[in-house]
Amino acid sequence: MIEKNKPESNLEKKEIKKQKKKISKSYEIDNHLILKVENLYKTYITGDIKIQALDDVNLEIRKGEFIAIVGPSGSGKTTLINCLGALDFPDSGKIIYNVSNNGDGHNITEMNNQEQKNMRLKRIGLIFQFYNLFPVLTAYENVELPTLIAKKKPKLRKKRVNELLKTVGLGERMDHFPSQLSGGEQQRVTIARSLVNDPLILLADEPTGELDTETTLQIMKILLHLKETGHSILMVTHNIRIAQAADRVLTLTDGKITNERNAGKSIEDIYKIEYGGH
Amino acid sequence: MGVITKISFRNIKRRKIRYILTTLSLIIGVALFGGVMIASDSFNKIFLDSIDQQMGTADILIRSNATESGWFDPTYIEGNLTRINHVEQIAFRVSGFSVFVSGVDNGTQIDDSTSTNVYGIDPYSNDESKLGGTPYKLDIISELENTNSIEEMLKYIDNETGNRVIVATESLKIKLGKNVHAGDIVRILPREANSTYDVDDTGTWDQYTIVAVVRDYGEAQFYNPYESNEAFSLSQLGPLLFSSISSAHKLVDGNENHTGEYNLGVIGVDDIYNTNKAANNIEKKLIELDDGLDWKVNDLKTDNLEDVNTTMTTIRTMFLVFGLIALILSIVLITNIFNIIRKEQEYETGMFQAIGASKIETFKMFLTQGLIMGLMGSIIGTICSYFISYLIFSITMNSISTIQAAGSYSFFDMDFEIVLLPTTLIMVFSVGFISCLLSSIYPSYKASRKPIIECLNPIEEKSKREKIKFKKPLIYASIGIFLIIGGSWLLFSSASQTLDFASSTNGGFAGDQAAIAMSAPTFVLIGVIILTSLIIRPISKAFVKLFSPVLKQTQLLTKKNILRHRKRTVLTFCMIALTTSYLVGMSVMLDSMRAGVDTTIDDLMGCDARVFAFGAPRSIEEEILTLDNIDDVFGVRYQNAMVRIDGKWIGHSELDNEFNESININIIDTDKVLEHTPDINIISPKSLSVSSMLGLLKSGNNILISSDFASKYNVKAGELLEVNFTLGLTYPTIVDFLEQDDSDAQEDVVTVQMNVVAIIEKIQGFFTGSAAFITSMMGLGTSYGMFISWETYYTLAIQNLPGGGTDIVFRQEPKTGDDEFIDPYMANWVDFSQIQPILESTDGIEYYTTRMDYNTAISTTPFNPLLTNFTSVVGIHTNSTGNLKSDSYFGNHTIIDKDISYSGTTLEELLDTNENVTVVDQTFVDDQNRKGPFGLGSEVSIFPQDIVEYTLLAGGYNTEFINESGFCPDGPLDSMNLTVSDNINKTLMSDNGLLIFNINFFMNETIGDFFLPARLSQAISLGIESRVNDSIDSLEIFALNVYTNEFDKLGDINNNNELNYTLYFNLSTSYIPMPTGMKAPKLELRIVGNSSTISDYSLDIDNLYLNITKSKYDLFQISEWPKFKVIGIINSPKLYNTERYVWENGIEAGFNPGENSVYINYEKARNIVYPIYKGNNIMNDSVSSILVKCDNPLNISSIGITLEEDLTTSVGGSWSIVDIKSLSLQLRISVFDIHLFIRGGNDEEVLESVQQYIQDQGYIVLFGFTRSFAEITFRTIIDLIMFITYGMLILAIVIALIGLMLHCLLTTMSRRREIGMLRSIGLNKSGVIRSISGETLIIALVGVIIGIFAGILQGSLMVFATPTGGFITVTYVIPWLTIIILVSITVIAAILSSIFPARWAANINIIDAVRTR
Repeated sequence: MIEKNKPESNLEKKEIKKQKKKISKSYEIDNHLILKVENLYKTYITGDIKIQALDDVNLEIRKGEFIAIVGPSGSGKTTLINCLGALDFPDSGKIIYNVSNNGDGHNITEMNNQEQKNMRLKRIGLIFQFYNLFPVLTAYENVELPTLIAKKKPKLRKKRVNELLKTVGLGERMDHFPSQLSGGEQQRVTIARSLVNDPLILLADEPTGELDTETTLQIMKILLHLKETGHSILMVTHNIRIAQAADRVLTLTDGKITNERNAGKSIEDIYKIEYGGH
Repeated sequence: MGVITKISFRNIKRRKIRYILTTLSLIIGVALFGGVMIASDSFNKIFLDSIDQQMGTADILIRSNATESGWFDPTYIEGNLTRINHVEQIAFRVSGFSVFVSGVDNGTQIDDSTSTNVYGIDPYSNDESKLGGTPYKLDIISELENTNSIEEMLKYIDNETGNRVIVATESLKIKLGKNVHAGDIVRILPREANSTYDVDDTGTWDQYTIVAVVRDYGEAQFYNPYESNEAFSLSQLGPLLFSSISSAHKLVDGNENHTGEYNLGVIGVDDIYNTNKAANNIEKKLIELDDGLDWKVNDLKTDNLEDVNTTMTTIRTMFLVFGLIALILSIVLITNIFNIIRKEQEYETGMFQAIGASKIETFKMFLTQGLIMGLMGSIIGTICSYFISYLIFSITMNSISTIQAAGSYSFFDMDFEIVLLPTTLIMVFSVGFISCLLSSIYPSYKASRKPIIECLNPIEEKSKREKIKFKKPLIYASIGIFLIIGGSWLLFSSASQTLDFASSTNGGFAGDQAAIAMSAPTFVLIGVIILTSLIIRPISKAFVKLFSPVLKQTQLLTKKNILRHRKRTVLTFCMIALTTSYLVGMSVMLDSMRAGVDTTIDDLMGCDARVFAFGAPRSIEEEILTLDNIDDVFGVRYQNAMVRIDGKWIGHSELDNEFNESININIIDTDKVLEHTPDINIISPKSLSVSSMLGLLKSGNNILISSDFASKYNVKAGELLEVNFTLGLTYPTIVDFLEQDDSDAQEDVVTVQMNVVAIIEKIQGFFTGSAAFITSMMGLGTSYGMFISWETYYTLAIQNLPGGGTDIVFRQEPKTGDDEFIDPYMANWVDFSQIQPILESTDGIEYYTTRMDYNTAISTTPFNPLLTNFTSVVGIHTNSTGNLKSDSYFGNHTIIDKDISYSGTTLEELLDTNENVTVVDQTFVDDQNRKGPFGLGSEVSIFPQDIVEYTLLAGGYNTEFINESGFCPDGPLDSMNLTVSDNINKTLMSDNGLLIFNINFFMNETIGDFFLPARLSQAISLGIESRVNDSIDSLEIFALNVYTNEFDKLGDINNNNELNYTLYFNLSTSYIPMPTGMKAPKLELRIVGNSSTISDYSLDIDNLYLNITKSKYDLFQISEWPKFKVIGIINSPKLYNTERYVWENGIEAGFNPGENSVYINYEKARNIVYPIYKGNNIMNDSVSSILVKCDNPLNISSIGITLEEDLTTSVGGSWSIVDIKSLSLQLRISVFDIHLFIRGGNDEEVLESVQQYIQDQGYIVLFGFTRSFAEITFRTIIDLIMFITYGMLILAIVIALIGLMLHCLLTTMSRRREIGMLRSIGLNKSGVIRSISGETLIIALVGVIIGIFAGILQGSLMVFATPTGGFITVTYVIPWLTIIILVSITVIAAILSSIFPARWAANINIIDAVRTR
């Protein structure tokens, strides 16, 4: 466990607050470094077996960048995204969001539970393989939920939820319960929900893992559209094809980034190549 | 609505079946708990109402303690008290006085009347009408049939007696006789009776009409302001009449000195629970008044309230245990279900947090579901609790009605009313709500604490579990073993502590003990369950093996699934085990009680019917035997005793109010016990047969002791025990005895070495050892039973009767007249030579003694005449021979201090000297010490009753002539000079043939002496020299007799020659009254002349004088009185000493221990103090009292009657024969508990006839019951307990089964994918059903079997912990039928509860199932 640095005096606290405020506004600048991962390590121990899930992972994501991480099962993809999403704790290393020119930012590995919770609520948008919608809430309510937790004003809430659901093409189905929606629709709700609090970055863990090709295409289009509109996206997938749509593709093997290449193919091109223009 | 609430509601809606079932279990739990609480509130109200019914709604009494009677004027305090908080009603009453009532018109006080208390209330007072209780009417005149209050009854105006109406209690009615009924007129002698009433003629007494007879309970009676608890005690039961205030004043204050005054204030407060506070404020206010009335305030209700609370706590605790079981089951169920739900929603929880929800929000989301469920369950449960309470209450009331109907007896009219107290409803709701909240807190907490990553992607923490693999089971095992050992210990210790219930409480059944007794088996049960849960793996393996033919290929899966969610499984079977265990445990206990009912009844009864009566002589056995359907009778008496063990007395005095242990001696007829109840278990010596044991008991000072006493105090058979037998209480006066006022009573004790013949367990019909239940209910502490025979007891009782050697004391009653100051309290002096022949000729008289005993002036401070006082100076024989014995044969004194220069150790020996010495009692010493130093060596000056003759000449200053008819021509009467031989005539003339002149002699010359008793101022003769002018028909002189208030003729002076007449007064009566104030007494003469021939004649009187006696000594010249030196001090006068009896309304009322005595040698008495009564020898002396010793105590009564007849015939006058011992003897050998053996006939009717017979004989029947009544009562009570217990437990089982069903359902649903997979690999539908049903069945059976095992264990513990030889006998029974039914029901219920989940699983869509997460 990484030891968290605790401010030692009120003066220091004030200084840190000031810095954070300064940093928080900086993400609006194009090409701004949204996420910086430094020397990330994570090990799982099951009985006598020791698994190195992450082994000195380093990466950077800038504003408006779409990065895909690929790798075989057990390579550490989900572990990486869990750590980046403040769902899991790395053994060591730094995960800094909203990095300023002098290298400062929100290092979630040094945050307490409350701060991590706030990061998840306001700065990180999470998209899961199994959608993870609340079955008891409608599409609208599911999307609205983070804004309620964030205590946003009702008017703003309504406007934002409606806008997002329309963006993902569910303007007509916002009162449906997840059980009444298809997998793709559920994933679109998930995407809308992840965006509702206007996060710095979207972390998508196998967003199309449960979807058929057609739906996968739709979802990818949405993600690419989001990228176009300035959202930063980190997507973990075992689907090498769709990874080609990302700006960069990182390959993770045994917890290490073993390869990095630029991609940025259009999704239509990818599917044309694959399926002969269909 | 917030998002969390919305999610919670949606979650509940989504999983409605499990929530509904869970809520249902909460509803049942809350309803049972609330039902018990509401029922207990309702019973509480019944108890409180019964207090009001028994004691009246009066809560506080106030009395003035400044005077004995306590009269006060209420007008000025009433205003002060009404302003005090909580005070609502104030009424004033008259109480605490007794009068004599007779049911006949021609009887006497002694033979035909009974003393009764008077309770005067104001029937027209509004406050009073609110303060009265509701009387239980036994007999009432038809016009008042519809009235329900004493006040209404007393408003009745009778045709004959007007407003002189009374309401009599049952005890008074019994005393008055069976022929007295409502509507009859009785005679009452007012307390301060004047001359218009003749005590020997009840026809002269006032007439009152009895308008109703009410049970002794039913209206506020007289309460001792210092002992409110006695309001319930038997000592307060007794004859009582209620009257209006005006009648009460006439009855108790005949002289009406206290009109408008009362002696008791009765206050009602707004709420019984405020009584204590109001009483304190009243006390404070009365102290502030500072009116010198020394107010005493008595809180009547608080102590009783505490008793009710204690009893209610017990009842509540007993039933609450079952209500709590249901509630606990609900909590377990809710916890279990929430845990399952938590597990189900784990992924959602993780996701919730992943999108930014905090842990506290997650916690809230879960908790809200608990809150919603708790709210709904608690509201519905609280509503349902009314119906449960209705059920409990109505069944209990029906059972009580059954019992009352069986006994044809009822104390109170009980209203069926369910009491819904807001506080109870709020509490029930809160308990339900909080329970649900608490049971959902842990799962909610766990849900919120679980790491997000584990929620989203569960990771097994095997390594962590491995670390604590041995630690946890070890802790659980330790807890289990601790609970089993601790629970068993508690159970046995609480069973033994039941013997000491009363030591920790003042009456009432101790609730905390009951709680321990009820919770101890629960500890054992939980211990067993914990231990079993530790070995659930082998148990489940065994069951799977057992069910292998059914499970077939799913054996392995079922085995693994059972253990998969260990906690869930354990909680589910725990619920079943818990309820099963209670059901079986209670079945074992109740079936054992039921099986033991016959033995219990045999032990309780020992016969067919029993009657508890007061004062009935043992001879009544023979009389009852002659009644129809009576086969045999034997009477038992219970006597208090103390036993000395290792120098310490075990037990208590009869007069002790508080004690922890008591020893009850059962006095038995050994022959009848052998004949009827020979089933006696002799613990030691084993070789002794019952007949030999009872034979031994019959002879000598032998005793049987109970095994529990023997074991507690390590007493062995054959040992000698020092036993202090209480033979009874000696009351100072007959009035005290009649009123059972033991404030001045003394306990008569005899200490005997008793040989322990045997140690026994019990004798049927007697409480031997652990009478703890009954005695603790009565607040009497632990009671040990012992047995002696009537023969042994007779010897003890007869040989130790009170009164020392004196059996009879008798004296001649004083004459009484209008002048109440004449000889009001002393006997006449009678020449003993007239009495001795009667004593000598009366058979049965062994010997006798005489006493010169009179109320005499004494002084211990010779120089201050004002400090002179009167005391009894008793001359006793010290050295007599023949049948006239010395006082030592009779007296009952102990020398406590003596002058060492005098020899002798007894009163008699000390006084056997020629010196003027005296022995005084301690009370006398104490009294004299208040005037100045007094003690041994001091001198007592005694005013001698010695006289000289004296002539009182008529003269102007001391004589007055009053012309009644006639005239005196010689001028003013008071100028007459009629001295002896002065030859001056005075002429009294008549002009109408009738001459009546009164001549009054004032005793001015001897005024100093007339402060003495009248006999010292005796008129002896009258000297008159007179002539009449002509011969007329008659001319007579009379003197006014102060006793009869009539003129007695002294003689004729009808002579026309002047003659000197000497006319003599009758010396046996008195013509000189006692002086009143400073006015000299006067002797009234009357001269009456009659002439039929002439109309005018004159009487010439020449001289006139009186010869009278007067004291030789001057009352004011104390220094001249003989002096007696104090050489000894005896203890204070004891009860049944015979020196100082007090007289009330002309009869001897008994000894007054407040008085004191001075003893001198008889010779000194006759020569110095009472010389006027001295005869030629002691046999010719006039004496004031004679003491007699008879040859046999049983003959005393008949000898007394013979003596009275002979004395009245031979000597004349009225005689007071005080039989010192017969009453005590009668009481001491009276039977208290009459055992009846009935032959044919209806036992209730036979009992009724026996009770009626005993009452007709004038004895009070306290209560009676038959074997069938006892049996019905026991069975009804057991049935009632069984019904309520089973009812509650069955509902608890319903909860457990709901738990089982939910467990099955949720477990199955959570394995949807696995089931799909199983189906996909080829398991058919029936295989799925078998697997699921089998798992459910196995869990249910594990629970049931553990429950049965634990239940039998806890039931057995309860049975074996029940004290043997006590009130309840239990015969150990295992209720196999109940167990079989229970197992069957559980199997069926388990199968039924698994049907739906199993079918659901069997019909699952395989593809959906395997694909769905």
